[in-house]
Amino acid sequence: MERFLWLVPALPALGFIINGVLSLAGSRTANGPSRGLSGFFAVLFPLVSFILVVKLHLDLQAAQESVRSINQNLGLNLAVPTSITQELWSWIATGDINLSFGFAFDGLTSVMLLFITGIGALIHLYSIGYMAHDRGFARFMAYMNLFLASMIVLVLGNGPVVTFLGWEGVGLCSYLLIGFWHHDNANGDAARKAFLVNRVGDLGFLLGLFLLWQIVGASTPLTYEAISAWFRDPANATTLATGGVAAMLTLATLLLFLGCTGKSAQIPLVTWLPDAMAGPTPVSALIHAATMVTSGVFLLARMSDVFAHAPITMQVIAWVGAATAAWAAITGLFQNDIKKILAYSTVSQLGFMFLAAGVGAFDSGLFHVFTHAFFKAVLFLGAGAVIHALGGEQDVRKMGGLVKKLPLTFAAMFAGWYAITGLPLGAGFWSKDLILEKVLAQGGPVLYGIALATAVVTAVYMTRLMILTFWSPSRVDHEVEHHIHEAPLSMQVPLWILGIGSLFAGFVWAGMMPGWDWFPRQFAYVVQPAQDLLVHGEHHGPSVLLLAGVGVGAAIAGILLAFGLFKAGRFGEHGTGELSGAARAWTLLWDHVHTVFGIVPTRIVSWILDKICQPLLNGIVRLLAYLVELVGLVVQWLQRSRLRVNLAMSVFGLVAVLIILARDLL
Amino acid sequence: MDTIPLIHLQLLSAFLFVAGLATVLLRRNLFFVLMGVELMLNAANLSFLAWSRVQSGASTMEGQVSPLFSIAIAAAEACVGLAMLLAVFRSRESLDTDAYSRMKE
Repeated sequence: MERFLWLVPALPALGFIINGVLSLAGSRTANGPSRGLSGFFAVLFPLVSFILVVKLHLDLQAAQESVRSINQNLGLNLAVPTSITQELWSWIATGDINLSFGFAFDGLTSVMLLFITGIGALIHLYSIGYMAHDRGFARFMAYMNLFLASMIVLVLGNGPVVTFLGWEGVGLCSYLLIGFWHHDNANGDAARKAFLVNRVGDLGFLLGLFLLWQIVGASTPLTYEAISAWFRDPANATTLATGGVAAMLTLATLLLFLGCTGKSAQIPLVTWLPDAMAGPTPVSALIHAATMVTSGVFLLARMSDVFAHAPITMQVIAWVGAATAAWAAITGLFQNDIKKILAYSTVSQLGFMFLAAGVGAFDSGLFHVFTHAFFKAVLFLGAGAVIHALGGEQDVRKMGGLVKKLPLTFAAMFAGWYAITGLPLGAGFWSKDLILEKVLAQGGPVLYGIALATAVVTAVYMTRLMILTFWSPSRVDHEVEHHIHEAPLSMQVPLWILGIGSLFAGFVWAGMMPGWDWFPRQFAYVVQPAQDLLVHGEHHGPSVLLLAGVGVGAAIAGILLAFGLFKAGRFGEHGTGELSGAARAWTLLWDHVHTVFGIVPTRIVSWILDKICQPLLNGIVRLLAYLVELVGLVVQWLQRSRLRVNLAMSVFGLVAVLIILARDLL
Repeated sequence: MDTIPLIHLQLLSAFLFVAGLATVLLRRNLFFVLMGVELMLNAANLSFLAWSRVQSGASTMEGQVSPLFSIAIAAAEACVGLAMLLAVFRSRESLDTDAYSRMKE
């Protein structure tokens, strides 16, 4: 089976090529490329990838099980295989450096890939309906396939360098898809913003990687397996304990974390994600909610052994996560664009994941990644269905009463709402309560307080979204109201599946029920050593049930608060226009920070370069040019254009060469 | 039978080559330039033959075959060269190599 590992990313890549060709070939025709053909390929390849991943997952499980049973029956102690690997080719081989391009499929990869390809295939199916009337249909599908291929490479890469390839690939696709409707310049601006902000993070990733390599030494191959082994090796403990190396490791991990904040839209690189909502809604669901933005959390878990040795970085991660979660949740309260609300909600939930990772609960963070992928995808897709039904209207102030008009969409979004607020037994209930529990035990009461308050605010803004969209009296324009219709089947099927997923996906790790721990068992060997290193001894805190009760209480309090505020008429549901005053300042807080710390200094440096360095350099260049001209005058005199003179000079040259050669011989 | 020593032949060949080169470099008439080139070619041929005399066995032939090639090529070259000379003469009305320059001094 390991021979087919490369097919998992290659199939969507093939879909990208086919759809790209279809798009180019059909671009001159009257109706654009054939939508049926393009849509068929676009959904087929992710689906086959998904089936492959399931098969690989089962194969890995079977292999592990067989080794375990041999060990048990014969009393042996054979190593249980942890991954299916495939080395494709030697990528960079020069001197000490020897990088191979390969894939590694292990437990962590498999849980990530299962939902990336699974939800990815569903969102491709949804896109067929959503983009049906768009001329760029095939181009859209091509980009989506390319994104999926890059994301798979990111997760499946056997080392950080291969991951970086996918990391850049998803950044590129994100840029292409945010600016998909490029006739509107604002979309292009949003795309460029996303790309540039991500570049800052990518630079951090690269520099962190260089430093990390410096620490582990060039003889260690740059694979996750080798890096983890290096950090787990007790022989290297003394090296790590020396002051210089420890400081370097802190710097390296902070830089890697900067890369994660870029991709996952955390403070300080948070500003691009809300703007990224300029792209089509399936893009927001797939890229900017379910998969790409979680790659930062994935990287933290992948490199948990490295991060566990840098306690300062872990503190930073936890506080950045908490601050992002709180800031974005509050921002979500003020938004009137349905997609913006969900975007800030995504940022906030990502903050939760980072908070979990920062306190040393990588598995809980990943669990939230997993459940969040379901309920945020369904919320975005539901929002897309609402926008579709209302003919492109995104302002929640112009919605309302849709529960009767769009009952199926409402049911799916209700499931997402139920999960994200953390009501009992929904997907978010299990993961969020687990995070809250771990934060209290390992991060202390202050972080727990922030997280709990954020959970309340989350329930408030999500309930506000549901009230304004579905439950409140209709404020829809009369013209639009006639055309409201349920989405086509291709959009509904993904909604149902993901809706059911958001209700039940949490049962893969139902913490309170012993034995219901399929999820963490998959990748325990990846993160467990790091978690054991960070957490010393058993923690005796409040019981799990009590904490779960507090979590549910927070959700219910938030929901009741939202209904109370709505009754009191403080939702601003009748207003129009842009945000203003404090709400605007708070929303754009980090944009202002970027302006002060990024854009203004850049402007100053550019001014210095333009007004001072430029003339100086110009002078030097002119001087050089003058010197060359002088030499030219002399040479010109030599180059008399007489045949005989030229010939004589070449004979002299030949003789000179011969003399030099002969001198070497003698 | 072998009475002329190798060094004499090589000296003669070198002399002929230098004479040819001097003709090429010093004469301005294009005919003489071509003749100088022929002289240099034949000096090289002579050198080949002289070396082949001191070889033994099959390698004797190599030094004798090379001049044959070079004579054949020289014939072709003379043919092309003279044709070009005629063409140049028609366009420039001169056989003086120094008069061919159109570059600015």
